[in-house]
Amino acid sequence: MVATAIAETTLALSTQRLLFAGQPVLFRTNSAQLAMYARDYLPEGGDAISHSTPARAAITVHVRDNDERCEDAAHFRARGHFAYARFTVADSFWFNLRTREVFGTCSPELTDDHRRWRAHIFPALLGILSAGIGVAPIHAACLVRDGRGVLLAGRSGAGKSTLTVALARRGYELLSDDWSYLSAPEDAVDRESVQAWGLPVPVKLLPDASGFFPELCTCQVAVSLNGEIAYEVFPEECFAVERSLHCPVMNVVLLSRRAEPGCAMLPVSPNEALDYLQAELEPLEGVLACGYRKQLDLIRHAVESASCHRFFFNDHPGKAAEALDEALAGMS
Amino acid sequence: MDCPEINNAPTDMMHRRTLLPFCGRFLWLGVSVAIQTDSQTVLRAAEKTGFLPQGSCKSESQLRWEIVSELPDATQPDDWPCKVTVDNHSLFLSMGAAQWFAFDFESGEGAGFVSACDRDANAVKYLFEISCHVGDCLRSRPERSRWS
Repeated sequence: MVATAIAETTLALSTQRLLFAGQPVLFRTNSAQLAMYARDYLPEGGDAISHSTPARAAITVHVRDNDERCEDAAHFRARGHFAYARFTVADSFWFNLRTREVFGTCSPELTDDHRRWRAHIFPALLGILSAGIGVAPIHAACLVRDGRGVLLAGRSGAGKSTLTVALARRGYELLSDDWSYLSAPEDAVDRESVQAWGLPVPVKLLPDASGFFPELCTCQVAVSLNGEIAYEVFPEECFAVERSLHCPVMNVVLLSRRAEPGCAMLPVSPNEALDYLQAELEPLEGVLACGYRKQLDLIRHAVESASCHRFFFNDHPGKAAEALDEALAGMS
Repeated sequence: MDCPEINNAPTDMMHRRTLLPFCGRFLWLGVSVAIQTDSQTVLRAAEKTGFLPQGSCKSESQLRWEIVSELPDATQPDDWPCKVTVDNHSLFLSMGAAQWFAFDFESGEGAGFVSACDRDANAVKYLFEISCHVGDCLRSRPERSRWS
C-alpha cells in the first residue's frame, strides 16, 4: 500500500491567502515554485494566518520527490460532493466540496511546467471548487470598457473567443474568452454586489482564426484539454491587449450566427438571457444544493442588473466587433 | 452484458449525474451500508467481499455510498496498486488510472468510479480495497461511535 497522510504537508513551506473570484482561498504547498505560480496567478487576499475572515476553501499541493514523467492523462470525475481531477500520469487532485478542501500531489517535472499550471491546472481546480464556495461559473466571455462589463454568451463554436479578441483589439479590456465567474461577498447577494471575475488563462482560438489575426502565424496549434485542436495563446502576450480582473455586469449579449451576411442586435427579455445562462450551469444536489441555489441567484442578479440583447452575425470578426462595439456604445 | 449506457448531458462534464438504478443494503463491520450503483456487478462484488445483504434500501443506512460503473480503461493493468490519501475529514483511494473511491468520515457518505462491466474480479478487488482501508480508518476514528 502506498499511503499519504495529508499531515505530511504540515511541513509545508508556504501558506498563502489568495482571492479566487473575490473569495479568500488558502493555498498550501511544500514547493516554493508552486507558491510563486499561485501568487502570480491570483491576487493576494490578506495575511494567511491572522486574517479575521476565514478562508472559504483550502488547496494543498504536495510535490513528491520522484521522477515520474508528466505524460498527458486528463481525467475528471465527480459524484456527490467528491471530485477527482488528473492532468497527467504524475498527479492527482482530490476534492471534498462539503469541507471545501482540495488535496493534490504531483511530480517535480510537472511542477516545472508553469504553462500547464496557468493554462489548465489552476483554472480546472478553481472551476471544480466553485460549487463549494458559492461562485457561479458561467459559460460566457467577458469584456470591460469604462468599468462596464459585457458578457458574451454562446455555445462552443459560436465565435466567443474570436469576437472577444477582436473586441479587445478595439480597446476593451479582456476578462475572459470562455468561462467567467460570478461572485458576491458572502453576506450580500444582491444586484449591486455581484461581479464577474476572470482568470489569467490563455484564449483558445480555432485554427481558422489565423486568417483573421496575423499574430497567430508564429504560433502553433495544439491539442487542448478537451481534445480540440486550437491555438492557446496568452492574449496580453500575443495581441498586446489589456486584462481586467473583475467588473459589474452591465450587458448580456447572446451570440447567434446567421445565414445572411452582416450583423444585427436585438433586445431580448432578461428571462431569455437568464434561461440561457442557467441552462449551462451544472445542477447540483445533496450538500451542494444550497451552493447551486446561490449560483442560480448570482446569475439572476447579474442578468437583472444588465441590458440583454441577442447579436446575430455573419461577418469578418473585425467588422462584427465594430458593429457590436457601436451598438454597445449607443447604450451606455 | 452489465454495462451502463453513456448518456452524459453537456453540463455533466464530470459524469456526476449518471443514474444509479440498483441499490443494495448491507451489514458491514457492525454498521449498515447502502450501496447505490448502476451495475449489478458492484453489488455482487460487495457480497463476495464480506458485505452481508440486508434487504432493500428503503430503510435508513448509516453509511451511504454511490459507485458508478464505467467502461474499462484499455491502458489500465489488472494489477493496479491502491494509493491511499487521508486527511482529517476524508479518505481517498486511487486504484489505477480511472478508478477511485472517496469517503467522508463525518457524513458517512462515499462515492467512486469502477471499471466493472463484465469484470467481476476487478470489482471484487475494488470493493476489497475499500473494505480494507475504510475499515481500518473506521476502527481507529471517533466518528465510528456515531454509526454503531
